[in-house]
Amino acid sequence: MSVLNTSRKNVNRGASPLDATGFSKRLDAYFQAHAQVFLASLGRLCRAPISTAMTVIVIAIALALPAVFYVLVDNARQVSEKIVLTNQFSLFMRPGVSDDEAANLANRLLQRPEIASVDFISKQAALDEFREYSGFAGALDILEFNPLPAVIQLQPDEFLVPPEALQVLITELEQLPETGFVQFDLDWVKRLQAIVEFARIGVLILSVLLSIAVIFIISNTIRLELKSRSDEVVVAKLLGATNGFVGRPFLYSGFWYGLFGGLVAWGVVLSVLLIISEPVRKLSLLYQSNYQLVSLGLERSIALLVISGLLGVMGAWVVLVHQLFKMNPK
Amino acid sequence: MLQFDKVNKRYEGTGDALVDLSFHVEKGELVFLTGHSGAGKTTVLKLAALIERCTRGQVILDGENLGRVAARKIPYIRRKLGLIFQDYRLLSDRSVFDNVALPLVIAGFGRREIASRVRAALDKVSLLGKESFYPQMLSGGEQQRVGIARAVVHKPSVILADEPTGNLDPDLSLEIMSLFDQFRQVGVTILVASHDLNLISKMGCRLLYLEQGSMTGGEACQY
Repeated sequence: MSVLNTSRKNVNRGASPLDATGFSKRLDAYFQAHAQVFLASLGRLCRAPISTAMTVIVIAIALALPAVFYVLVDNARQVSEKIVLTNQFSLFMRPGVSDDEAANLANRLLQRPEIASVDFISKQAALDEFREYSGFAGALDILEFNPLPAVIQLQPDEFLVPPEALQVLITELEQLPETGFVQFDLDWVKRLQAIVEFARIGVLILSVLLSIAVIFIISNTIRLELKSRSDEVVVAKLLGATNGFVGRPFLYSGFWYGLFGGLVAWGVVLSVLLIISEPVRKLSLLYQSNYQLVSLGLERSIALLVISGLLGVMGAWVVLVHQLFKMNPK
Repeated sequence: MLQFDKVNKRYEGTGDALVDLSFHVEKGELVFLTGHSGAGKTTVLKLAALIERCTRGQVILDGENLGRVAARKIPYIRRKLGLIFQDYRLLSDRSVFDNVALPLVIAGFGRREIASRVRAALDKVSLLGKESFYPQMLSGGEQQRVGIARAVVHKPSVILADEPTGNLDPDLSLEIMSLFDQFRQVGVTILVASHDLNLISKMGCRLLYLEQGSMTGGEACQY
């Protein structure tokens, strides 16, 4: 069967040659073509592994930097919130108040409805703790007596004692004869929160700047690719290709660069968190807490990959609008 | 099918390429466009393929005034055409099959239909056995036949060829021309720009003679 004979049949039917296939068939062909280009652009990247890897690593670093900072700041924010929620405070005994008297006071305080829980730390326990964590064990051994007072840690009931009533309770406790002083210092928590907020905005600015950098890294890569494939683009346009058709492989290339960059960045973030998780745990133990670093989690991991893929597409789009669409046969 | 009506084309800097050019190619006609280099042959083809637009006058292709076609509609106009170039313009990193399939891929055909049409087109130019070859593995004449297969695979109503035999020896040239004659016989309109008068005279087709952008003569068809 000759091509041209069929051509005549089509002409005789009065149909344009491009109407020869049905709508669903064409839709099917459309997705086929998309899938083909999607994979072909992946294959193209894989055929130049070194140059692809170099680009991907640059993208990954640019993405990992704000992502790591984001996770750290997010952790700091959670820590500071936890501190505020536990409006716990410490009652240090006056020198000369014995452990028995202090324990007695602790029991009396526990009877009060506005006190939710009481934790009594004897002079000896305080000394042991201090010896363990302060690093002054040797210095303590020289002392012939225990200089530390007993401490009662109090946790007010958060419903009976709202934050604004806390000061009243503290003043009352300060009047007790056994009390040396009450330590309840929200100021440093507030300072921490202000710093965290400051850092959060910093991370935001850093993310925006580095995202722009990623867009331009990708657009530069795509621009070079476009240059090396300009013949193909011009021929395709001569054969009736739309801007969408010639642009598609480059958009997908941009997507792949972004996605791979995001994947590597994700790996970098997890590695960094793994490395610092042990020091963080040790640090948190010093504060009588067993804080576990909050990692990226599923949702944020997906968000990271989606954002990086989108940045890739945007990077390619910049080039398409500025160069490809204007690249016409001469 | 293709009509030029008092067409002027002026390029910035180099002056008038076409002056008051009028001619009409009927459906199913094979017409040669000849003249010296720089006479405006290529410009005529560029206007017909919407690579350039005329400065004045009208170019009408298949009833459509090309001067009024919006930029985003140009691809759809080009799909009605089969373009053949002196330098073949094949993609060197794609096989013969993929080169010929390109117009169908662009037009959104399904894989199975593409395969059967590409084979039919390659059969027509006697290259069926070389689907998986790459262009640089083929001779000049074979490459031009791939170019022709690519130009006809989507069954265009008009074929425009710019010096299609410019790089080929006389025997191969005649072979290419006889292919064009076969296409004419099945109703395709063909406009061939060529300065090879010797070859054209053998074909006995209608001839348009261009000189400095104007029609200076012509010969009627002899078949």
